[in-house]
Amino acid sequence: MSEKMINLVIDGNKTSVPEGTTLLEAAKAENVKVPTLCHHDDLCIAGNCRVCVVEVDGWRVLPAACASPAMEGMVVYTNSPRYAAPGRTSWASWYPSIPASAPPATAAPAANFRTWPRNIISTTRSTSIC
Amino acid sequence: MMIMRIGAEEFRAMGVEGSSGSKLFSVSGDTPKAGIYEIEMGMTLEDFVKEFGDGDAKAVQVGGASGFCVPRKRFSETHIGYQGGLKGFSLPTGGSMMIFNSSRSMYNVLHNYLDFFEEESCGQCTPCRVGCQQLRKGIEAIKRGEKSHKYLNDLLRLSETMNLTAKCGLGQSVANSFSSIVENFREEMIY
Repeated sequence: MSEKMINLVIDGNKTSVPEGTTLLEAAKAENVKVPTLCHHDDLCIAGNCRVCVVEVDGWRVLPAACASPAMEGMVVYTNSPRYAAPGRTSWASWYPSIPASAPPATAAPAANFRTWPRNIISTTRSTSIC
Repeated sequence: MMIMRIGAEEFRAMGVEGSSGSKLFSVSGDTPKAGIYEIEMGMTLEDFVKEFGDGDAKAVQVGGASGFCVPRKRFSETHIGYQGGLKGFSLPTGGSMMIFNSSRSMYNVLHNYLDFFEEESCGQCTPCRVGCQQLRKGIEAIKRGEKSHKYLNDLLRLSETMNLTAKCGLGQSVANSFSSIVENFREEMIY
């Protein structure tokens, strides 16, 4: 039985993934890094920390990549201006669980926001703080 | 219900294009005649306040805590109806209309809403769980003078983030009342 393939665009790259693949998995296959926090391959999907939010063309909200299945014709941006707008960066500075060792969110906001979740994971090996 | 009395044809002719017919509204707050009323769609808030207000209305909260707060200066251009198709500024509503007169502190109103959202937030997703707390603590800190009034801009950005990233409608709609009250009654938040 052949699996149905879904065509979508991630950061300008056309790609094709099997039906049921999440945006996070699709991005990973494209070598696009999307930061995650509460996601773990061995756990069920929660979509709670909202660190992996991405922008999808035509959507009013930013969906969590780990919890959204890829759909035909989706145009996904993982680092769009809307995503990196001041609102998203201020969120990083609001995050109460951010460790003291993390760089201050004011220095280079967009860059920090995209790197700190990975820093936390690599230093503490904890994926369940949220 | 009007539609039972006058039939579908006449009912459809009521209201305005895009928002036809009438709808049940719960009118509460500073009004001498609180209750449930059936109102024709497309009515401006100015007419609404003339009909139901106590003559001193300074704001109307359309759609409850998740809805929008309309200040007096925008009463005449704001229509009650389904979004789109209406001239000027139109607001959709579930039917809750709260009237506030000038004796009310909009800071207390907003604080009350944020208390409600903080209580109602299930705490699963971060923007809503953290955002509701931070918004409440933020306006309290500004009121106490611990934070500058510019901090309101940060809070507005936070509410925008909640609107874009929260998992469900509760967290997404906190920004509606927060931004409409803060933008229109900024001085009441500070002093």
